[in-house]
Amino acid sequence: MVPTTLGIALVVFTIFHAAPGDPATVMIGAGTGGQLGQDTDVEGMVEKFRRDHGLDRSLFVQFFDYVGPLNLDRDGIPWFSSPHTERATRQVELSDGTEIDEGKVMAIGHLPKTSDEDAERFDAARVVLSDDEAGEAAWSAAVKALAEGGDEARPALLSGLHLIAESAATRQAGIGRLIGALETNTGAEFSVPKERLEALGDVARIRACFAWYFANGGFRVQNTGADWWGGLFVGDLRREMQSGREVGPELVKRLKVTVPLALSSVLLSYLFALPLGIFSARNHGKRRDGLVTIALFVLFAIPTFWAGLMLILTFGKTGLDLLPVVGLHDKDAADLGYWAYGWDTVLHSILPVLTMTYSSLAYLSRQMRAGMMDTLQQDYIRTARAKGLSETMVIYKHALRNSMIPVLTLLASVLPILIGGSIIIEKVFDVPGMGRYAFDGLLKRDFNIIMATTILVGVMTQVGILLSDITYSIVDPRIRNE
Amino acid sequence: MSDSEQAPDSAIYSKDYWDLVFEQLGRRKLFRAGMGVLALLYGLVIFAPFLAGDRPFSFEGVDRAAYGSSLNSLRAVTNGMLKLVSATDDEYLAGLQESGTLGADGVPQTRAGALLLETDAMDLRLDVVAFYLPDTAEAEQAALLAFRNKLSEGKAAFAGGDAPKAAELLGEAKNITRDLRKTLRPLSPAKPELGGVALQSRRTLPLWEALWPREIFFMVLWILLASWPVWNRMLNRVVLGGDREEVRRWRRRKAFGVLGLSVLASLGWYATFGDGDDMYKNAPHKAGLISGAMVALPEGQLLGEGDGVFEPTWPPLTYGLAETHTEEMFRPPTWWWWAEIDEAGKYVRGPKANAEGQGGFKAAVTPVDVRAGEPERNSSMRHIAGVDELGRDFLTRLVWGGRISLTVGILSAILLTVIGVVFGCLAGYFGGRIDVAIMRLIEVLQAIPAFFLILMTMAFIPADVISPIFAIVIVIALIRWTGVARLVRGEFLRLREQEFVIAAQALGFSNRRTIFRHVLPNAMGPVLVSAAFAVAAGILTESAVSFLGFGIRPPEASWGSLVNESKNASNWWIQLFPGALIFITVTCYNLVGDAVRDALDPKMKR
Repeated sequence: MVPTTLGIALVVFTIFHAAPGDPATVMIGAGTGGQLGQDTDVEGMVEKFRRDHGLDRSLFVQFFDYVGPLNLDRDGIPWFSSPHTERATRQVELSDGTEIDEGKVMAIGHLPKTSDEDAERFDAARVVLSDDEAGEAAWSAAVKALAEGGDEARPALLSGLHLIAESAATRQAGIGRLIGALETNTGAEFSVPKERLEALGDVARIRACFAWYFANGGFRVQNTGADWWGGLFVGDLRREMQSGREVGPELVKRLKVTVPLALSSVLLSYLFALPLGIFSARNHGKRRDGLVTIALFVLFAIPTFWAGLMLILTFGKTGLDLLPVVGLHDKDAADLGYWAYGWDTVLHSILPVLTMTYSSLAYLSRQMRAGMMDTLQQDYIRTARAKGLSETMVIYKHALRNSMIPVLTLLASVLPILIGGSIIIEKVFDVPGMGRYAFDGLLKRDFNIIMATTILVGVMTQVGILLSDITYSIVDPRIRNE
Repeated sequence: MSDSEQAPDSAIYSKDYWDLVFEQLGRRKLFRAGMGVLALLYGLVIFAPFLAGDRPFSFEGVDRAAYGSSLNSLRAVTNGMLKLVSATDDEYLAGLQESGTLGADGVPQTRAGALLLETDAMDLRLDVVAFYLPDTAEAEQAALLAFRNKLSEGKAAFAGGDAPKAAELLGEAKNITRDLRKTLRPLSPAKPELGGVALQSRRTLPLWEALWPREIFFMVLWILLASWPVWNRMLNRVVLGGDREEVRRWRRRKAFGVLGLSVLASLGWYATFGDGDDMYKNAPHKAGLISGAMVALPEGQLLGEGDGVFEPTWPPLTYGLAETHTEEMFRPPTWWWWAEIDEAGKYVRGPKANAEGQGGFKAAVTPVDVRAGEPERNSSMRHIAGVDELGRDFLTRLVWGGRISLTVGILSAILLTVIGVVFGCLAGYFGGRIDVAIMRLIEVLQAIPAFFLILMTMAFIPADVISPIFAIVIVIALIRWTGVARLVRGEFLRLREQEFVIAAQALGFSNRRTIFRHVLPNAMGPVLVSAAFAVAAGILTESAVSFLGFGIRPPEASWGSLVNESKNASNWWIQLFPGALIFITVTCYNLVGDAVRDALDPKMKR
């Protein structure tokens, strides 16, 4: 089961990255609905998106970060750090032909070796320096503390600069103090050519600091408080890329809607398919069987979405107006009492479940019929009849168990089809289930949602296969006694 | 030769495998019914241009707008040629750089190339002008000829390297255009007193010229395949004299003959008519006939003289693919009880009777615009399947959309069968590690529900990079081949132990020969059955994917995406008809697949 799940993850990952177009651009375009204004900085948004979700890392790192028990979050683990430091600096050509480095302004987390108290101390010092009202004494104390901290103090200073750059409220004095403290700490001087100052203002100075930091062995450590473990193997399904909600709990919520519907659909289809198959096999050759076969044949050919739409047309407001057709509950369902709420849910579920059931019903009853007909031709059935047993006894006591074997093994294929096909049904009937979630994820091209739902469906399929194998071995004594 | 005196089609001759199969198939009524309906459906969509389009089969008349614009633009084109000839190469390149097209595709980078383009444009216009000049107008024809000669002299001079002379000649040509505009000015029927040349009505074949050679291929192929029972029987009786051995030997020739004839027909078409037209561009005839830019007269009649009238023959559904009647937006089928629209453009009864405006888009209501060749406003034949959101006739879109649906079904089935057979052969014949590797791959692919995987892949393929039709065919094939592979592998595992395979290997046949000539033909039975069902599954999948919005995008339509056009349940025709067509097609394919399976089953002889 595990290798196959890994294989599924690999397949989805490959599709996601092998598709033409840059994933980040696609996701931004899909997520915002393509409504980017003329003056928004599209490239900047895309870049930020890529960095935020780690799409700028190498493909191996991305995949194993998603899957593995080890959290390769941005650069959490030293020995897997992707070469961000080089990419975080950019060469800018000046008007006189020389080049300077500018670093990307980003959040720098504390180094792993920094203890918690030290980290707090540095952060406090940094806050003091940013505060315009702290006074000279406080400031110089802070500078001293930071200078003593050595390289462990630098992340704090740089985070402070990053905050200032992000907030766009340039507190000039704050910048000056922070940069001065950095200069004291590092012993280097951060000079910026005048034309960059004119072009960018204080941001140029901040960038120069970051460029120095990256060039001098500093690596980004994002202090997200993330621990070592994470990824699929630990059950961490990450967050949705657009909204930031956690995928795991949302998925569970949706499953609570889809699984009951799917299970009741499976139950119903087996409930009706078995007797129908038996009836067909018993009346084989007569007109009744012919009619049933034709009816099932026709059912099999109806596209799911069309069946749903036709049911809505017939039973909905424009038709007979017998059943509700949208969602799982009425708008004011919360006010209803317990039983009324349950009844309302049942009424709303009738059409979706019906749509889910009919095609597997057709398929299963055909299989049942074929299996039963095969069994009825066996010698021991003839013996049973010769013994004088009634037809009912013959069928239900002797033939049924043997003919049910292939039908039970089909459970493996019925369940995944239901989950996969639930996308259509949940879209047509507007049911907030897992299929709808997957569909919304596809619309937004959200990698985490799609991965999570696909893997879940894959796991459920394999569970179904396993279940049917187990059932097979239980029901068929030939296998059980091997 | 031995049994030739026996009755040729009786059951006394010895039957080979395919004889038996075809005979079993022929006996089953459901198979014939299914094939018949499918043949009909395929015929309808293959011959779609003849059924639905705004191009008449033949048109006799005068295209005054084309004549006028061609005549008036002669001077501009000549001027362009003159400028090219007078400039130097550097100046031309500088001009390209200014307009930003230096090195761009499709833009000629040399003066000679640009001159070629201008010559083509000039020829186009001169042909139009010459086309409508009356045969009797000798003076005008001579003037046109003189102009053409001057142009070719100028081009020859330029090709010979004498640019100044060429410029001089083209300058003279430019002056001639002024005279031409006067002498060749057309007569306007509304103001005959202003004089001018009375244009002569000519015949064109708009519909035939719009057909593509590949469409001809499929049309001829369909005709040959649909009439197969007829000509096959005649061929067997007349040419082959009923000899079964000959008939069997001729099977391959017949198959290649059918294909070859179709290819020849399409090549011949290409040689005669060239490429076709983009059917998403409206033809000028309907609009032109109303506005007077085109006048329909019997061939040979002069404009303004005589009073013959020519009625163009339109296809049964006279609507173009891109032709909109916005005033009829979301009109139900015209035979429906509330479809009637009065003269002002309001619905007479039904749910839209008291609506303010139409569809909330316009405050005012506009009357229905009945264009040339269309049925009357309230005729029940006007919109048999209703109208969609943009005012396009829905039945037209159904017919043209069927092309895509049916194509995707068949192509994806063929591709997936080929891939599945290849992998199944490899796994089943060679066994061992290859088998294990392929089975692992199949397991992983089968662990995800196929529809889910297909949907996901289609979601990540942007529609502007790869055409959705190709994409969906390839995606369906790449994901659904596992079923066929498993089947073939099973058959191979069964057949590998048979004696004829051991004998073949003992005789030293290469692997490839054993597989393709001996084992595979015996394994093809279940493959054919699954291929038939694969087409049905492909059509269902494509329609579901398009319904969800990840498949075919507008302006192209497939049956699935047509269903998606309106979520409003009161527009029932949008949801009913495409789905019904899908349902019918899938049922027929299931019938055919079932019948083939029963025919191939040795136990189920009838």
